[in-house]
Amino acid sequence: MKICVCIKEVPDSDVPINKLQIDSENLKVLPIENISSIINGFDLNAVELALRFSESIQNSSVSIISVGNDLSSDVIKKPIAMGADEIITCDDKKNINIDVHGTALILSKLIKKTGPYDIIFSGRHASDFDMATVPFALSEMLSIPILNIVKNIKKEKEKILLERIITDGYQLIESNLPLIITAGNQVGDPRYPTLKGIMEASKKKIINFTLDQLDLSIKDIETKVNLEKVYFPENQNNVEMIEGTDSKEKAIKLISKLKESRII
Amino acid sequence: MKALTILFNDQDEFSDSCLEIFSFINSLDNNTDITCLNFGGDKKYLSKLPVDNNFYVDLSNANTNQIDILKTIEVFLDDEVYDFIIFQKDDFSNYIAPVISYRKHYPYIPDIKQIFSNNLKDIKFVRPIHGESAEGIYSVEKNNTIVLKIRKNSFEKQPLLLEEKNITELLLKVVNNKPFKIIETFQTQSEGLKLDDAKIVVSGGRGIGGKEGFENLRSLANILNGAVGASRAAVEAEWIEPSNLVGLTGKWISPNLYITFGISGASQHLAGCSNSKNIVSVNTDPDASIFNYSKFGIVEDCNKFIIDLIEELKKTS
Repeated sequence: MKICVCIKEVPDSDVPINKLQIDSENLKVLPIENISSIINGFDLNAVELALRFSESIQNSSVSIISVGNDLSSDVIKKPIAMGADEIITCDDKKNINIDVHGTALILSKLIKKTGPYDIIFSGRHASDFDMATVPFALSEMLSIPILNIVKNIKKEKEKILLERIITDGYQLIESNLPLIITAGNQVGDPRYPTLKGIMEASKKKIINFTLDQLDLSIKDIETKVNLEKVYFPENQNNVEMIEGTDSKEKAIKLISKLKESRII
Repeated sequence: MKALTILFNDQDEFSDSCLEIFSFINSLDNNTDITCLNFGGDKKYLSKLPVDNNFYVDLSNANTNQIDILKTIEVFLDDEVYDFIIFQKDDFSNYIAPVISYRKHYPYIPDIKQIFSNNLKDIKFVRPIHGESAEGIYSVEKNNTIVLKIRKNSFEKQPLLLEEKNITELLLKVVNNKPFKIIETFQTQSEGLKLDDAKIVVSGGRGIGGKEGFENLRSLANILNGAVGASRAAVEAEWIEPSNLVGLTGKWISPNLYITFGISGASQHLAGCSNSKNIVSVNTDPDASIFNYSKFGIVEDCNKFIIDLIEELKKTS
């Protein structure tokens, strides 16, 4: 079984807001200090789900696929250290400010070039632009059906059985292959890289394709939706700090403020 | 202008949050011919929706497959071209909206919280990015249908009509040989007051320091008739169940009062709580960014403050 996982390098979403700045030229939010980027959290859940599934099946392989410009190899090699087999990228300076359409198109070309894959995994959405759309666009471009927010997948004889999360519950689904799957935190924590894995990752060469090698031009990856401006919303809450000599006095004041404003 | 809104309704009760869509459409253009395609729900209420053309597809089977819904919508779209197709955020829409957009080659913008428009050729759409820490302004060249998904609690609710109007029933188009089939749907019941439904939520983060702090938070929640939430740091430390997680990777809530204890305000967390009507924050760090989003702020040791707050609330109730 040939499996791939699409991952994205993003700014760390755990950085407090007062340590973020706007890059108005490239329309991005970036940490102020030299804080390393990370792999999108849900993509690591997808890697974990893919590795678990692959381990339950003989003769299977997990390829990691990513699109970007100036990717940080230390960051995107993490899934290799976790146990994935190879990493394939389209890391090209021309991939600047691409939107869902461009990202999905490049991913689809990478998948066609290095596939076919039986199952394509991805995170349910990326923490930077929260569009939750690339996997669906990929599904339409590759004509492969998609199931979103899957927490479990197993093979029973010739059947693929999945558990898909819905609001306040889940569905048991039987599916054909090929299939695209998105994953969220319901999968559980991604495994830690092992020492052996880290050594292997450091030696592993990234297989890179340029846009040209994928027969794509800049025109092909032009945005369909224009992001015009990125900004921090003006803080409309003028916070009122409640002062007092001790914790008890502040608690009394808070209760009376909340009652005055009819909040409690 | 012509707009189509596609609603996936709860079978049991009418949710008036769908009424936000109609004021959103009016803010695009108040002279719009509105068509509504309803999947499931209470027909009596739906026949009072403030729309010009109203359609209804029965969806009483809990195992309804997305493939059949997509087919039904595709056939429906053959008859008419719309300027906008508008969805709200729910399980079905999160799947159907992006698929329809890419299948029909229509541009798609999800999670819209605000719009600016001079005319229909020049509309700017505002949506949160990077958790909730920033916003992006988007535009689309208007020579095609645009697919939109709007955020809940972002627009006024337009009232229902006083009288029932005609609603046309359509049949679900059932596709043979589907690539996947839903064998069974399981509903899980969570204990206590649900985070999504609670009017008051008290939440703890790294600053709570351990499981004991969450015990105190539960007592506070009981007094306030609220629910307990947590930041990712607290869930990762296993001080509380992952089902209590509020944030980008957890629940997205909008209670009337949200009180945070020892939460610094990473975008990861704000994504889940910034829609709260009133935020009160307690933190030892006077520069914690959560204060920028709060109505009231208290610089104090949060565990001490929880105990004092419980004591004083008991006196006043």
